[in-house]
Amino acid sequence: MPLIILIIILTICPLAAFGQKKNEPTKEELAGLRKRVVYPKLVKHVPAVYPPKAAAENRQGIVYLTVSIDETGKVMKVEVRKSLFPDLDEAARIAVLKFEFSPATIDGKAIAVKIPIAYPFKLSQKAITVAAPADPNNPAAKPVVTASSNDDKKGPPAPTQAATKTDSKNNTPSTTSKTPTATTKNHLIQPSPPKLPPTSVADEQITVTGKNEKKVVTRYTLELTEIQTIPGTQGDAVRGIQNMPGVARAPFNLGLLVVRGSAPRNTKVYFEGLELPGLFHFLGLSSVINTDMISKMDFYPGNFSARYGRATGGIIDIGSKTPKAKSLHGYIDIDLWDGSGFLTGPIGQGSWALSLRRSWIDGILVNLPDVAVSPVYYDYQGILAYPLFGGKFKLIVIGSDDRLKVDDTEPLRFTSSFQKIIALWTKKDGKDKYRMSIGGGRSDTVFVYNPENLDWVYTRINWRNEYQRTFSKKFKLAVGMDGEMVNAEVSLKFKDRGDVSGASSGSETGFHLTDYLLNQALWTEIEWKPWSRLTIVPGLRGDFIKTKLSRHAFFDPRFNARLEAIKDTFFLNAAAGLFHQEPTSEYMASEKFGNPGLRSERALHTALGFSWKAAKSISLDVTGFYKNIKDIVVSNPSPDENNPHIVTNDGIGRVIGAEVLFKKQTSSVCPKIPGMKKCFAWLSYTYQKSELKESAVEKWRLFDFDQSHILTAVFSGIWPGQWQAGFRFRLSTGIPMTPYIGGVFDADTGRYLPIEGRPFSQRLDTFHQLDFRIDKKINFTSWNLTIYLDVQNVYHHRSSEYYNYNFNYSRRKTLAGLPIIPSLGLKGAF
Amino acid sequence: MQIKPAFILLITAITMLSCDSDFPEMGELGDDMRIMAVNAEPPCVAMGETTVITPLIWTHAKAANRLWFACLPDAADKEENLDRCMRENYASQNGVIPDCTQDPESRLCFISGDETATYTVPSNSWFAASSEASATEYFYIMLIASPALDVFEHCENTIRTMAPTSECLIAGKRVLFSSHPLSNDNPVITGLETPLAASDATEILHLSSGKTKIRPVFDPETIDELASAGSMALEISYYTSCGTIDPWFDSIECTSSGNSFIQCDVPWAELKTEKVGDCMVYAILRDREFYGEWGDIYEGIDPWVPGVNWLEKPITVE
Repeated sequence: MPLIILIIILTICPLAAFGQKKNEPTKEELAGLRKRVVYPKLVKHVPAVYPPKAAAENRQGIVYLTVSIDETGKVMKVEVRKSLFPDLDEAARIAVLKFEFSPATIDGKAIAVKIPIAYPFKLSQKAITVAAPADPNNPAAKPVVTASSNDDKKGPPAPTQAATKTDSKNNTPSTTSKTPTATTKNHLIQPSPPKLPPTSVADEQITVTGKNEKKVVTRYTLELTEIQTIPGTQGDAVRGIQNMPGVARAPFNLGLLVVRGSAPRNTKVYFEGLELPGLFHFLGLSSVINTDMISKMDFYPGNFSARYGRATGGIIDIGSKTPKAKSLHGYIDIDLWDGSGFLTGPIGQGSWALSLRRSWIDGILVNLPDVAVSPVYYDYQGILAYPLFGGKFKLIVIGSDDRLKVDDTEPLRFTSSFQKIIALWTKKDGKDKYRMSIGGGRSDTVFVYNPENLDWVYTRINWRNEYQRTFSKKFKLAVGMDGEMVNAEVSLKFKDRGDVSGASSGSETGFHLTDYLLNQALWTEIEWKPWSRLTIVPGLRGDFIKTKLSRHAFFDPRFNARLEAIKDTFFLNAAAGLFHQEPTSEYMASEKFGNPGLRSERALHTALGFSWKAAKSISLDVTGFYKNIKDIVVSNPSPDENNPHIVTNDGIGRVIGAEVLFKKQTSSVCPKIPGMKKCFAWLSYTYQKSELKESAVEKWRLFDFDQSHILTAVFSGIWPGQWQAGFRFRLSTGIPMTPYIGGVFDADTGRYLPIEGRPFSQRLDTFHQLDFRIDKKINFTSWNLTIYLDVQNVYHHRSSEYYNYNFNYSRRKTLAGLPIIPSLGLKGAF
Repeated sequence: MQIKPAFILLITAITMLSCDSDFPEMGELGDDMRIMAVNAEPPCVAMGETTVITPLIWTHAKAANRLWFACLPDAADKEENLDRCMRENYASQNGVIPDCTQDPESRLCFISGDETATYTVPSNSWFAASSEASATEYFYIMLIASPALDVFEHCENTIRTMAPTSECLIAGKRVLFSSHPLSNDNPVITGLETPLAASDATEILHLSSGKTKIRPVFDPETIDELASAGSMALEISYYTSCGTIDPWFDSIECTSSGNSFIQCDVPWAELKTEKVGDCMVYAILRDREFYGEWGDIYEGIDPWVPGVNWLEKPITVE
């Protein structure tokens, strides 16, 4: 009963927020207002008289004024907002009173307005200038006052048109001039913005947080603009995850996420808090989400919040972007791998965005030697954002389709696809935050090797409901519920081989398994600051799972603490928590092919580390971690009457390691390379040892994807003229393999049975690869063009990805990875 | 939930499709010694009956000395395969392999060192239990082949670990044990056919150097399973010392209409000879289709034990 009451409360709290009054205009409303306003323009300038005494005393500076302009454009009143000297204040006030402006309008109707003006007095240049252009659509942008030289000692000339550019760091518009400048703060309504190069979706910026907000263990922060230019990622921010500490490299660069030694299935991917079936296309060539659809990306390699559950590895939670509402923008991006299009624009008070991508790398790969299989993929995303009930509503559609293209003579077909629709509503109301989301979709994976046909189909509905209240600066409480309902179908078709009596139809037969999963979880988390420098975050999560043949319930207490040992400089972090994950539906669905009696896998995560902000743009994060895993599902080597199932919970695991991330954000603190203005870099290193013990009588062996050392180094520099170039170097220990030491001839099949050596006793060769990328951006009147060259595997090192054996397993060769692949890309944005 | 199987299959697919490596095809006899086939006649036996096991071994001017063993697997373990049967029984018997006639209860015993093996089903507890359960079981006849004269000494490690070497080859043949009548005769290949003519099994076939199409001629009446199956797929494998055969492996679809009319669609293979002289073509026919990769999940259908036979065809390339 308490559970039901809590669910009802969690449901009602956000619903109650629908009816609450609006207290102040939202950002969207302000943006809409600004769109309707035409700002006054200066049409008559009167120079101020420099007071002789002030000149004699060499007094200079800026007087900040507020100017009231009536419906006709006449200056009615000038107030000194920030005084310089009384005589200079008065000189400026008298001059500005004589200014004339074009009237400001709203929806075409003239209105009276107030605008800020900065009036500089500077003797050396003998010039005084006026006007404070700023981007009215960008409240963060600082309006800039411009001036130009003038020989007229009596006063300043009329304002001149300022040269403009886009700041390469934050992309906010600014104006520049060779003459002195000064800045003012924003005001309610600002003068008309200067003419700027067109902003586009490509100029947007998001932050990718490596782990979490300050409240949990450690924090890695990567800027999207940096990730997009990392060599080898093709501008795909999500692929940046694969360069993070704790993430091992998967064979064939498959896009599997092997986090802190855990199996790929133990790391879950969420989009707006709802699980996605997959994150990458085949071979990891691209993520399934366009970077420009992303607002944030949180990566938790362990010790994640109670907000997430049913995973014993890591979590990736991707947030969708709220599209631009100002005007229509878009781009077309084509390179060697694929082509994509993106379009965004306003609709009423809301906005929308649409993205489509289709690969064409298959047409290239099939012509390369030793490449027998080519991926074909496409994906799409659509977002509609609209203000609703005082909050924000989003409707999101997302889908992906992958298929392997092989020689027509091969009887092989492999496809994987998913479609999902998500409805999301959020609201922040003072100290309260609400979030409700629901999603539904279907995923389908088909493997056909004629005549076998294996098919997984999942139909899934997920929901998430959260409420957070800030009681004080010291205390926050969050509660939530999430869950999902999954219908799983697994079918296998094959040709009937008959039985020993010789009765064989030769017809197709097989089996069809169906199962469902119903999960409901409740969680709560407290953020408590007993001291301004100490944050303690305890949390508790309960999951309840029911399938056709089994039930699971688990409770996960979690704890995070962060101590700001040296203010804004040095932080100590510690965390511990329990994490559970239920067995896969394939195993829970059948007594024959699985084991409905399986328990959920359980992991204890512990971590200890520090974050050091050595300078404004330089940071170092170090985290040591240990995971203890129990009840791992493993094969039952000898089913008997006591345990007839093919899988058991007999496995245990342990992972120990340390992660280091040295990060230098984009800044001018760089090595001395000719002409380079700014640069960014990071160095990520992980040491880990992950081991599995499959039963009490077995010895410890390495996990399938164990990699002792993982090193990633990234550097990118920025030169004048919007040139950017950089490299990425990766090195990792080869993954462990179980060798075949020969083959026994099975005279009935006419084939050889491989004889396995000691499990995971050999490793593939050490992987290393250098990638290079260069970008050049060109601005045109109404659009911009980015040309980039992304070269993967610059020195053509054919990495060992797998072992391939001859027919009797007496000889082997390594399957090599991709050769050197240069990709020239063009991205035109408007 | 489906990420793991999807990617496992993806790796499988990539591996399979990447197998067009520089390794020679299985049908090319480039190595010194190769066990190409083993058959049992009869392939199914009952209590007290005797079966003769014969190998087809390619040697490159070397002798192929043999050791034969009988291995009785754990009947409860349906997934047990032939290498495991011998390795585990060897360990459980502390490395002692008695003679089959002297210790009929032994799960792993030595049959002989002859060219063929003759095995008579003993009256022991393993076979008795199967008879009482009216079950159809299979047991293994294992072959160790080596050019060494003293195979026991030379291949002791291979026998113990089941890890073969180039001079200690291992093969295993399942023999069915059942008190029920079974339809599983070994098929009979009567000759080899080219587009120009057909030749019988012993006749030397004279071919011009270059490419020639070949296919086996066999007696459909020996495919006794067809009477009840209606249709089935047979497997044909080719090995040659003359050059290459493409494909070296293929399937033959056979259908039966009524009680007598059997039709088989026998595909051609292309023999490419590389040098003039005498050489051999081996055609091996297995009368039931089999998918080894998926066998472990076909509980209730296993065991699947084909009838097998072969043709050793002398060729003179001119």
